[in-house]
Amino acid sequence: MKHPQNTYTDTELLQQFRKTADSQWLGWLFERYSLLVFGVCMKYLRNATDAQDATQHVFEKALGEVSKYEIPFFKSWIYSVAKNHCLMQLRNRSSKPGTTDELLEETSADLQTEQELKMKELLMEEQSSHLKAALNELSQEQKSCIQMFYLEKLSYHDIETKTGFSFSQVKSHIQNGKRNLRIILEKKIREHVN
Amino acid sequence: MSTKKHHIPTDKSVPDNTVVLEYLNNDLGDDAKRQLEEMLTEDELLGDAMEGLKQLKDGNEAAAISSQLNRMINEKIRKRRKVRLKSISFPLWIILLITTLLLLMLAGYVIISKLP
Repeated sequence: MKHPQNTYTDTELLQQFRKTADSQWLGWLFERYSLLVFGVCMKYLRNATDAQDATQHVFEKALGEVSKYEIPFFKSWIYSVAKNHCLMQLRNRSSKPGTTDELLEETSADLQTEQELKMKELLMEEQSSHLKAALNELSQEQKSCIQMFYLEKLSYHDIETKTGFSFSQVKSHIQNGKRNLRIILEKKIREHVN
Repeated sequence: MSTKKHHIPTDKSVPDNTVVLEYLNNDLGDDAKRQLEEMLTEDELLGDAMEGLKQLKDGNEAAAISSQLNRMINEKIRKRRKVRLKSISFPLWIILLITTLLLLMLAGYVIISKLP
């Protein structure tokens, strides 16, 4: 028999929990996210022990709330719970105000919901003059990371080796580059239409 | 070039922990690696998680932490199930008391109904 963790979707696991009131279904759901939630906590808290404590706290909270409320998108919900918990932790760390401010500033940019762009399709049409021009308007770091990842199909690891950037920097250049590219392209298309 | 053939099912919103751990150890096949990296570029949770996990020494450290966390989750779930089972199972004496009362009521009814 296949393990339910591998065969059921998040919604199905939650439905089974509601139907049977058996917490084991939640256990399988939580296991699916344990490593990722720990990773999110690790990103913000930058300490494995603190991140483990935070992860534990997040799942304790989840255990209480999942039975009280209807959660349509568990993935987004658990992500916000983890992120908010870490941000609260950072706010409470009064001893390092500088670091906290810096991190919060970095995070607030992440919190902006961005409508994802169909980057792949757009980059396939690299011949498009708009896209070429838009790529040239990006910072050198963003431009080279976007080109290497989408056009040359290099892995993050290869980009790290080629550029000397860290994993976080590569991820950030690609994500920010995509966002900026979308803004520039929208502007160019508007100008073109007018 | 790695020849491992792990796939991330497209119908799943998150990759399996084993895929993530293999990625961290640089053991994932090229196709799966590409698929995961495209996912993490699009997906905030996965992107942030990977950024955090990359701060660890390697996938083995992440694997050890993952097992520890799963143990903790299972322990909490086990305790919760135990409490629930306790709360729904009546003690034997209550069941015996109710049965005795019902039998007495039935006997009383029979006796009263047979009186002239």
